[in-house]
Amino acid sequence: MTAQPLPDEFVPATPIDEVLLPPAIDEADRARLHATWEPVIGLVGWLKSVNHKSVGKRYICAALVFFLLGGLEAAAMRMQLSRPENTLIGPDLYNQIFTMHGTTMMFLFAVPIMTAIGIYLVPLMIGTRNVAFPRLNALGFWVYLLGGIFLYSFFFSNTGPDAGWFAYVPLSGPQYGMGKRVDVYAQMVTFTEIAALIAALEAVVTICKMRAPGMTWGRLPLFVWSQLVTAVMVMFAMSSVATASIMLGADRLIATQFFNPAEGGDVLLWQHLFWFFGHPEVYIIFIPALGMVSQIVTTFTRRPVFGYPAMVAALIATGTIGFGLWVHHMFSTSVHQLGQSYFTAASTMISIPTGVQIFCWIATLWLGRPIWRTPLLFVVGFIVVFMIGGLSGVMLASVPFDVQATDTYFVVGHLHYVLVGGAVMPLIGAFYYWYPKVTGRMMSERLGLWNFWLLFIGINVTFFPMHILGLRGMTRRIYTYQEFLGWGTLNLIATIGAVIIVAGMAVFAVNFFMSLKTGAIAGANPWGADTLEWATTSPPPPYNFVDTPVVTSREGLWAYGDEIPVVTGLHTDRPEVLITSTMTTEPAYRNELPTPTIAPLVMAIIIAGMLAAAIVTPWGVPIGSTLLLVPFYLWAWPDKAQHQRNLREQGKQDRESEAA
Amino acid sequence: MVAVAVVTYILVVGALFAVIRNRRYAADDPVSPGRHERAERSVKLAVLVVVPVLFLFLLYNFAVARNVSRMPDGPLLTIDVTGHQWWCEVAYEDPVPHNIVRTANEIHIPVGKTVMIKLASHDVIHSFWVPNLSGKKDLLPGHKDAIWIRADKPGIYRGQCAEFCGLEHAKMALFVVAESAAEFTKWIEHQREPAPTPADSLTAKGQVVFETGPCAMCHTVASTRAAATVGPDLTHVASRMTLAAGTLPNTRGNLGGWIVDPQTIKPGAKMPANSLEPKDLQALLAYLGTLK
Amino acid sequence: MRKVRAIASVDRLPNEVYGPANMTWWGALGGEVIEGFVVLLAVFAYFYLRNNTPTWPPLHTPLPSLGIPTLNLLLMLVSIVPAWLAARAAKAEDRYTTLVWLAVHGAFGIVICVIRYFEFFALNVRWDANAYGSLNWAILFAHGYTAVFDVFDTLGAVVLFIFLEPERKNYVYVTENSFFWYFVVITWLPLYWLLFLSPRW
Repeated sequence: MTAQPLPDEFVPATPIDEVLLPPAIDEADRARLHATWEPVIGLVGWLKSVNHKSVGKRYICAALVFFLLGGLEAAAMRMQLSRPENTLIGPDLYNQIFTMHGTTMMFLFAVPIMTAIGIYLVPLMIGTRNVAFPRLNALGFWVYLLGGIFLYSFFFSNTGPDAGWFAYVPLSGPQYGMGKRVDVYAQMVTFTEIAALIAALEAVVTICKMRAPGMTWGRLPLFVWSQLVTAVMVMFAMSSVATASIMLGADRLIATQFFNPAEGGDVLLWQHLFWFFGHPEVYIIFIPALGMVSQIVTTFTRRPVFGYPAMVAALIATGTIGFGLWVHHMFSTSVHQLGQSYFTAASTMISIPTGVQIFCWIATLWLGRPIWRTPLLFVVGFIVVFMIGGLSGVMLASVPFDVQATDTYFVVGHLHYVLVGGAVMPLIGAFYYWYPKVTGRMMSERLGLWNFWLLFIGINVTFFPMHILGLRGMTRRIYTYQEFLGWGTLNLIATIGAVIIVAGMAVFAVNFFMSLKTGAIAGANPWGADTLEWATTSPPPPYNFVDTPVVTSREGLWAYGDEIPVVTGLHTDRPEVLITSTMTTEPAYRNELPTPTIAPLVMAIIIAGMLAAAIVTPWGVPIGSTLLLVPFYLWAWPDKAQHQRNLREQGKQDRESEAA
Repeated sequence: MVAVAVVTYILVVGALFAVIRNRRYAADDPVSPGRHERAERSVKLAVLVVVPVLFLFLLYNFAVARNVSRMPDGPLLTIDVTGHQWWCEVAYEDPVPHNIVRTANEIHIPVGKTVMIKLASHDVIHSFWVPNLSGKKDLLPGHKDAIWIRADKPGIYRGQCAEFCGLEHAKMALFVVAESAAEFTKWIEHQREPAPTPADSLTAKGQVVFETGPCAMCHTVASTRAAATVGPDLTHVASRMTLAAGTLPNTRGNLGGWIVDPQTIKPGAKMPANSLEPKDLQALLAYLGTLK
Repeated sequence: MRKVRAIASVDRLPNEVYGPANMTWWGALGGEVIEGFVVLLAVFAYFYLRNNTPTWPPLHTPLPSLGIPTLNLLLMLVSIVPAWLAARAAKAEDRYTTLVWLAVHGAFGIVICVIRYFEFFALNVRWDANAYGSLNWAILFAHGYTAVFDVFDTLGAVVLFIFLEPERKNYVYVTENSFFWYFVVITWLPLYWLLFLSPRW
């Protein structure tokens, strides 16, 4: 193989076109466009912003902070478990820490970051200027942030939830879940589920209605497909956890009996409702990562991913079948054997669509011309690591095997291989890939190499021994274990691996921050990629594109010849986006988006107060709901100038069409 | 199963590396049309291999599951295991109530015989798991479940609670002792006997301490005045291998430490600290030592 | 540098449309899907627990009464009319007719919500008595929430129509508001059967 050396400084492989920069409007108009889309500056402006890129960036930063916190919790657990009968952390704190680790990673990091990257990238990739409901988008972010702060405030005052991220009743119920710890958990779930549902609604409506003309369903980038499938999944899965957590909160606060067997309730009802959410949840985390991999593979092999229809079908199949697996988390309960067989079958079959995707990527790499940069390295790492997790998952689908391996470290090993290998590795690759677009600078390739290898080695050293530990009988969620069990050595190795992971993530952090100041200037399309976000400056202007590009092929930018067709005519004095028809992407109407306002932040604060109060009194809900009317009407009441202007123009338009 | 997984893994990752290694290309090397066909055929072939393999795996699974869950013969013995935070209450069923044996955290069974274990929970969800004897089965409040086990070889099998049940989930273990039929009969008949009467003044004093002190608030010793059922039955506590649900070996020193300060050994356990006069403690330990 | 070629201009396109193409319709639909699924899950929980319980309602729990709930059901069915008339007037962009029917719709909504409060007591069981009671209250509450939400929307629209000359966007909003109300009423039909009629068999 004639290996391409990875340079320290980035050298573009092909000349970069600055696409779509020649203005179809003049300088004065461009300035007005800029002012329209970024009207208020300063701190107040920052708080009021409804621009999807601002919301997306702060969402990503918040999620990364939670990733750090979750990682610190993991490090603490690994330190405690590194030796038998260690006394670093006692049972109460340990139980809080492992609960916080799971809760943080699943609710506050993994789903939000995939959501956030979608919020940033999807409008750019489909050629529009913002998401469908910008103020709602801002509300989603603030609710999420306040939810995370809420959870951590309680954790730092020794009131963190301690019943596991899955909070099985009756341990989490009113009788055995003492104090307010589990109430904090249940409410935090409400916060994050509101945020996730809002983001899902945004994604579905934006993708269905705001695509550039010509971007028919068969030409949609695979990343956008993955965001759409994920958003639909969120709408059903998050509703389920909302129902479950509200029922749990109600059982604890107002003595409902949903889960109390003595009064007709059932402890398994919680498990069904939770896992009906919990299994799709991991696919909600995984499917966006699959979309990221597809974009990276396309760009770095210089050809579209092989088998586009199969890839789309695979995404949809994974999302759909993902809802039919949940009982595999309950094989050791009293679920009937025949029912179990169905879930075994589904859990086995779901590996097929993902397998198809992997085969297609390998075929793409074979047919294309791989250019070795850090993002592609992470894709290869993803395949190598994720496959181990996928195969151990198929093993777990088998009931006789599962009843031995479930609730042991085998599952911990499996879940981290699929989540860290299957979601975090593509995520980091995606950071290296899209960082130039967001910041205008390239990350260091040399540090990227260190980042990759430290992570790759660390992940395997930490999580592979866990499979063996599980098969040797080490159960999950234990704060210590006895010497004679012989689990000490493997645990120590896993802890060493964790240290290597920390080193890898430290390199990432250094690269991330350093490159902001010293990275090579990126330009619009440093990778020579094909999707629309690369057709505007890096970072993009507040309005994303001067004119709406017309898409002519699945190959996006690569298909344009000397001239790029665009559609003009959106006003520059008001924030307007083009709404196109769902099936044919013909321009349908011009939608004026709302201006920035402080109402979403105020609303989020009131919601936070309401949910916090609901921990102690049910009156929090009606009182809070009433208070919400104030920012709600502020939000919804039309802006006077805008209203008058619309009436005038509407009148004019109606008269003109009558005369015609 | 592992073998199939490993082979699959090697094939796929091998293909990946083969594809990225054997690349000889010029900067603008067009892909030959034949290559595209070959790629299409390879992907289709891969899928056509994977699907039947998974299907066969599924059938194999169902066969094994059915085999493993079928009880080989009528159970010789039925044992009720009730999960508590954080110990296992064990009761040997018997049609004659007087013969019901109650113990904790240790089960004896005859080798080679099928034993039915009925599972219930007193508080939260626990899970019964003795890895060498069977898969896990959860103890669900409000549900009645059962599994069967059979030890084909004599030995001591360790089990551990396998569903997070609170503060001391980590220290909730139990032992299953599989022994010959004769040894098992001897053990169970001995367990049916009430506590021995104290033979000397020290053990007599110990019994008084037990009956009049905090012990009797939670524990039973058959044929004494202590008959509470909050904690484990201690009638034959000295015959058990461990204390505190597998946390400590059952020695006099450990027992003393456990009685005086359980919260250091198993913080959060429902047993409170008991401050006893040293003489009383010695008497109590002597008494408990006779409860074989 | 590649050149840009404008092939069409959209400046003549309207700034709002009626029907399933507009954003408000999609937002309403999204809300309906989410709320609907939450209620559906509560219904699944209802059947799941009913399956576990030998008698339903459980022993010593009286059957729900029919008077008030049936009244509310009829009121809801009737309330479709003013909602539909408001939507029709809105499409014709007739400010005062729309306002009148919106107000009637809002009035119906308020009455329905008030009677909904009494429907909780018509269940004849407390939310904390047993799981049957908890689920009944939960389903009634989840559905009631959607009705209350619509009433607030409607009242807001009424205020707007009184104080401002409505633009097309506001008329579209009224049509989508009615669309949401149809969802509230139609979902109530099977739920009414589930909560008040099905325990009788």
